[in-house]
Amino acid sequence: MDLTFPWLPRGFFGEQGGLLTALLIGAVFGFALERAGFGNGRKLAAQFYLYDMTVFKVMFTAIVTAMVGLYALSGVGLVQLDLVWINPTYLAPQLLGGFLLGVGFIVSGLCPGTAFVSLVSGKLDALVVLVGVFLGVLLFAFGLDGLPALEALYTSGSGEVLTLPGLLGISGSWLAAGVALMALGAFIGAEKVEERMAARLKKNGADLDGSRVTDSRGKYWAMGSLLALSLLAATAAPMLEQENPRQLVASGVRPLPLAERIIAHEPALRILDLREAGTDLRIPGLGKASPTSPPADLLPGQHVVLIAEGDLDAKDLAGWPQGPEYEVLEGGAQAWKEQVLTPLEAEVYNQEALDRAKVQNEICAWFNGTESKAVSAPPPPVIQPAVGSRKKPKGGC
Amino acid sequence: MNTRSYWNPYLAGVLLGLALLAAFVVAGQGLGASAFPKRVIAGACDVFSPEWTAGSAAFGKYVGSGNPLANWLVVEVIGVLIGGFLGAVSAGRLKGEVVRSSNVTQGRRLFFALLGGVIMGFAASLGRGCTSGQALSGGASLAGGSWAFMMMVFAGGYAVAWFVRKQWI
Repeated sequence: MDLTFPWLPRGFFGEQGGLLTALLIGAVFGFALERAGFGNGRKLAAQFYLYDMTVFKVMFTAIVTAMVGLYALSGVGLVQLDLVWINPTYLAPQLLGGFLLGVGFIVSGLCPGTAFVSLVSGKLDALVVLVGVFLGVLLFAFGLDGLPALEALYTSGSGEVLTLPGLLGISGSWLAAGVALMALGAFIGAEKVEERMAARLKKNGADLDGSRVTDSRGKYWAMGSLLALSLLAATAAPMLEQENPRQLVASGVRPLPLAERIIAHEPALRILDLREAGTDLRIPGLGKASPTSPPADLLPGQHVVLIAEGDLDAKDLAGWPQGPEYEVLEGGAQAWKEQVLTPLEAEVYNQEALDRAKVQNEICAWFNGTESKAVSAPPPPVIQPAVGSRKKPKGGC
Repeated sequence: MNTRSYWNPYLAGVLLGLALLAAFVVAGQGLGASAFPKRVIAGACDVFSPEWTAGSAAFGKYVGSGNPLANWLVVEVIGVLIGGFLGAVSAGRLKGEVVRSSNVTQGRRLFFALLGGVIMGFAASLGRGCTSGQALSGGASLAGGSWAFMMMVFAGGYAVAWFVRKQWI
């Protein structure tokens, strides 16, 4: 059984079971937030006066942990990253929304997630913050319908999934390691800034929340494990990829079923002719490629059928990218010509053979252009990109 | 009852990160918080005025297909409430109070809580997420727009911090 992550998008557990995982994962999230001190508005606000930077430390440790985990698992092929929902980019509303969220954060002392934790810790201010959040959501909904300028701002941007590894052109696991190392440096800086700011504010008679945790042993353990995690991501994932070049898994497809799929205009079907010469296959939209230089625009989700002169060994395709589903035409171009492009003569006394010949000859006629419908050859199959431009409306936060 | 002290922030961060990683690999999406108010409000509006809600640019997408509350993020926030409550009770921190600096009155603190909440509800709608769904989850999945969002959260907080300092220090 293929247990590759993520599970819910791959249909594991069903709806009820999926919601149960939400309850469990949410409970761990809430418990960790509470234990970090995020049920306390003053501790959160302290981040913005720099004398207790717990918000920054917890947030970036969490980001690094999940990021290294996600990209390392995807680097070794255990996570199908194209099935993980990644926030699409709408730059202008994200910039302004982020700024306003920061303003609301310091004015109220809590953010929406921590307000829930603070609420169940008994804090009355959190209840009022949440009432405000609900009102703000309603206010935005009215504004979106009534103010064309707000609607224009909200919908501006491409809505494409633009990840930093894609934008910077480096592998996710290397970038994850880089971010981890940067976080480590920032943590060391944050510890120093805190000490200084706490001393300065105290001297000025400020009323400080005194709950900062300064357990140095835990600090170094945690920093050490972060370093180890980042090294794991940077070295293990790419090394595993190199030492164990994942062979392309290519299944075989016989000529007639392939012909039927072409006639049925199967979406995302892409057929590549790997032979050096020859234009005699009569396949509409047929592409050319060489076994050693795959086309640059192969996308996950495509079904790529490869045609060589005869049978093709998947081992010959070591440099081809993972992502698309590959199939090789059994028997190659030779079999295609014999079984699809050549009409079949059946013995008249065998009804079954006659029927089969009828089907095959219809297919044969379609490809040879002798059938009326085939006079206008269909357009090349439309390739649906599976990543890069995913637009999926979702609740987001 | 004595209260436990908070965890070391880095250890708390690792646990939080593991919960986030679990969300990615099990559910195929990150964690969130503001989906809860959005969907609850959409559901409430749907009860009072189904036509307006279905036609609303902000809420229509939540009510088109079944119960807006039968959603992974909504149930996840119910989990947050349970986990947060267990954390507070087991640490002896369940206490009815208004958290504030001694330099500010309770009424003023609650007024700013409401104001800040309204701003955040608006901001989390405009930005398609909040600190959890954009900054934390989008940050961990290395989404470009989410990193821009995260930087701006800190920028907004530091820009205004001086003006509201009496509440906190």
